[in-house]
Amino acid sequence: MVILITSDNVKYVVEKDVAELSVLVKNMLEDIGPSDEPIPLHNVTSTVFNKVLEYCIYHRNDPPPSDDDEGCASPLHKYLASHICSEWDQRFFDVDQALLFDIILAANYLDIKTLLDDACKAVAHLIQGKSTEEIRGIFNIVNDFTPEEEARVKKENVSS
Amino acid sequence: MGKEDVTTLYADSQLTVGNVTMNGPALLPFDDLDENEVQELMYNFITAFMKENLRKSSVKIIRKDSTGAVPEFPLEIILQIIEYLHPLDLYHLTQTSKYFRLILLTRRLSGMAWETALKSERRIPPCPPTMSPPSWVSLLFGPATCDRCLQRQAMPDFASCQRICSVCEINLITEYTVIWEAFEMKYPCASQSLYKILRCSLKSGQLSPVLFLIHFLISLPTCSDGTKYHPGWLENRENYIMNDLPIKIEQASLYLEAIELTPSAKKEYNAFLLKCEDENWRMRKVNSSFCLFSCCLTTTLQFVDICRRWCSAVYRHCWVEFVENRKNNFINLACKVLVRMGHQQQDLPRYYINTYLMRYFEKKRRARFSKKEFHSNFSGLEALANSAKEQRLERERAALRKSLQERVTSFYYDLVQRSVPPERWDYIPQGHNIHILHLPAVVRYIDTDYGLESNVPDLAVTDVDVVILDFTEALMMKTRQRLLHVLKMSHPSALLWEDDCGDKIEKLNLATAVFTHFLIGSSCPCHRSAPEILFGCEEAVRHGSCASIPLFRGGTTTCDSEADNFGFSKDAYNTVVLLLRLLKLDPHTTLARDLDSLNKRFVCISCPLKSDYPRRPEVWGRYTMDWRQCVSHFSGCYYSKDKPPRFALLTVEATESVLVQENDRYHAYGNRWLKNNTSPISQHSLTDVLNIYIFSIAQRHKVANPAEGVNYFYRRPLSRKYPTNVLEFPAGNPNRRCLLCQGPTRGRLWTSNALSAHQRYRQVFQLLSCVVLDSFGWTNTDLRHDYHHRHDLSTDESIEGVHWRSPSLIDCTTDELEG
Repeated sequence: MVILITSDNVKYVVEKDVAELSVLVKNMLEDIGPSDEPIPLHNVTSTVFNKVLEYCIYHRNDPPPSDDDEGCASPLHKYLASHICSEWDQRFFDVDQALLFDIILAANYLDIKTLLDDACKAVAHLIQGKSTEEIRGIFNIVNDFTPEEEARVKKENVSS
Repeated sequence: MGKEDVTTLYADSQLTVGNVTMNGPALLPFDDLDENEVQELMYNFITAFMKENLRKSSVKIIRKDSTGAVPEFPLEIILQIIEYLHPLDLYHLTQTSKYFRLILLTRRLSGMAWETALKSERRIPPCPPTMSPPSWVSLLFGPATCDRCLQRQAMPDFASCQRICSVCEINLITEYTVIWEAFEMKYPCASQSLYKILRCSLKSGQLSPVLFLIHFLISLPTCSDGTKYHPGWLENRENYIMNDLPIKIEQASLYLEAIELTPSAKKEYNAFLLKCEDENWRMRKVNSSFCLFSCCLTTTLQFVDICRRWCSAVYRHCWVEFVENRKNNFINLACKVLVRMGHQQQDLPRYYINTYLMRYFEKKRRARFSKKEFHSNFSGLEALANSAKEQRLERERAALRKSLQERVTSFYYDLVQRSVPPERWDYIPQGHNIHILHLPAVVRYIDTDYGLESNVPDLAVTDVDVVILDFTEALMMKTRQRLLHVLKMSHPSALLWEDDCGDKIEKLNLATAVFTHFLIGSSCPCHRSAPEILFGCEEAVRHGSCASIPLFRGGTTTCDSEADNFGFSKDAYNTVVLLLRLLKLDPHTTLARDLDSLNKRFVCISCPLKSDYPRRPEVWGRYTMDWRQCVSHFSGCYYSKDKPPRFALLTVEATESVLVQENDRYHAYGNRWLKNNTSPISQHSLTDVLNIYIFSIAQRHKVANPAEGVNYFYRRPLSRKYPTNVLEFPAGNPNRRCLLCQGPTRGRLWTSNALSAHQRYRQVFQLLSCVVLDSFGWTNTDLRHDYHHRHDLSTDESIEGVHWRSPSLIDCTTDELEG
């Protein structure tokens, strides 16, 4: 078992194989060796970590992603893979948008590749089929174009 | 007037994508254009098409608050997210902020994402090598404005890879032509060298057909339908504009001016030309080879053609969707207003409303209407709704009437079963008979407007039952009166009855009481079909209610013999009398049922022999008939009325055989027994099949070891040696009897002319047909000679040593009767 402490000082006792889905934790465990010392997760709050833990427990038996496979995969294969999302995953990512972004940041910090990939797909799904204004609204993107620039951007085509 | 209350349908007469003119279904004129909608449909239809599909496929994740911002993500996460995006989404993202625009327009950062997105989206043409992915996506999904004037709407032109409006196109060509001509005039010697670098422009990636018309003609690609490009396409060659023509001319002019002042500057000019050619790296190879040049040109033109066709298909799809949506909007609005005016949704026929609106718009030369306009001009729609309502109510009324009629019919049957003695059931009509449904009480019950079916009273509480019973009683009496009237007027023995017998009703059951009955509906005698022959009262009373006129309407019992559809058949009467004489019975006293009980069979000896079995031409004969069939046969339309009826009475033993065959459900159609008792098994050998048959027989007939010839038979392979008229039956079949020995039915039976005999009498039996024919005077020597010839028998050879007795098939014939 591995003890993890989130940034808001909540202690989690997690099975080792679940914790080692995070490359960050795995490396730390290798560095400190067999020890009962808790591992601090500075950039992850307990709220986010609950979700991360839920994902890791569900996917604990999944085969690890292979870099070779990914490198050889055709764009079409990748595209299809990006659209294949299990029902559980869809329900998992049906969360508050802020929490979704926090999960992405946490997955990035903890270096959980599958979670990061799936979360990025979820965000991509949010963008799909939306207009410029809708995308700005969804993601709080500030329109920093001047009115003239915006008019030009809207009217002009991108030149090669 | 709210915005939702105004719906407009726009129709363009034609729309041009590049050089392809797309004729949309220009249903209506369009004068009130909503700019956004038209821009979306007419010019940005590719975006509309893609967006529609993307929205359908996107997973909905509900946004629950406004916190969080994508730009705060590390760049690598953003790059990972955009890898999953569609080209259209990437294009939209470039317009969100400077940060995203910078990321997405930097090849080093997002080049892979663009390429992946374009390769993954198979519905759009691939990016041409002369364009970057963002510019290609921008051409497809970008603003529908002219790249040059940034004002007017423009379609994507895949030849010049830009959006350019028709006005700018003309201006540009004029301007370029002037520049080129001025340059050519000023530097006639330099035009050739400049032409080399201009014909393949790196910037536009396209050629200059203005200058290369000859090359076009040589390498003109063929369309998919086998034709060359349309001449109009060549006329529009100006579409292929070199974007950098003025730039290059300006640069070259500077060098040429310098050369005039300093001849040593020519070296720099040549270097400039070489540099330009180097920049046009793709075309540099082409310059040295005319074939390669043509090939490249062809490829370019084919690509343009593919893009235009694709664009045209997308446009048509969008246009059809647009028109359908608009039509539905119109119809929905019309329905909405009509519903508010009190009409029901089910009374609003959408198809007719659509037709009405389209006609209205065509007449008005515009496709637009509002509530106000609706109230003032669309009285026709109200009429449509009212008409539909009337039709619906009529349908409902008809359904209720039908339901009530069925209720009356059901009630009628129950009543009759309870109240009418069974011996009178033949006299009363069927429940759906028109007389029943026209009884005043029934009509009143059915035609009353109850509103709802639940309000209809039960028939038991009405007086309908009394009316029906009175009617059936009257009908029975009336029918007898009618039949008696017919006999009295026509039967030759009518006077005799008056003298001898007081019971006239009994005379209705005489065998000679033969009535004709015409079907209802054939009121005109010229068009009446052959009348049905009815024998005696028992058959005639069933048609008692089938009067050609409603004799019993209102319960009246008036008698109108002229209008009655009953008649007396003189021919049938004569035939019956002839048959009775053949049977030595008295026509004045013999009842129909007495004649039936005799069960006699006859054959018509006027009819020629014929074969009714196309597959068995060796079987010839005549049909046997009972006395009713004889009458119908003579009265039938196929019998020549010039000849008198000629019938032969079969002997008792022949009649028995015929009766057996009539009752035999395994009648002469091959080995039905085998077929009926086993399933066809085609994949097994003959031995296997036989074993299965035997097993089936053992199971079915509970025989331990079925013996061939006793319990079962099977058909051997057909050959010339064995004639095909063999019938095989299981042992113990009570319906089959050998005509010759009358013995038990064991052994194979042969049949011919509807008669059967054991296999061992086969030859005799075959001859029997001929003998019978001869005995009747129906000489068919061909048949007999053929048989003798085939069996190598002398015609005079007698058959000896065989157990048979000479059959007597015919008792007597009508020809033998005196007088």
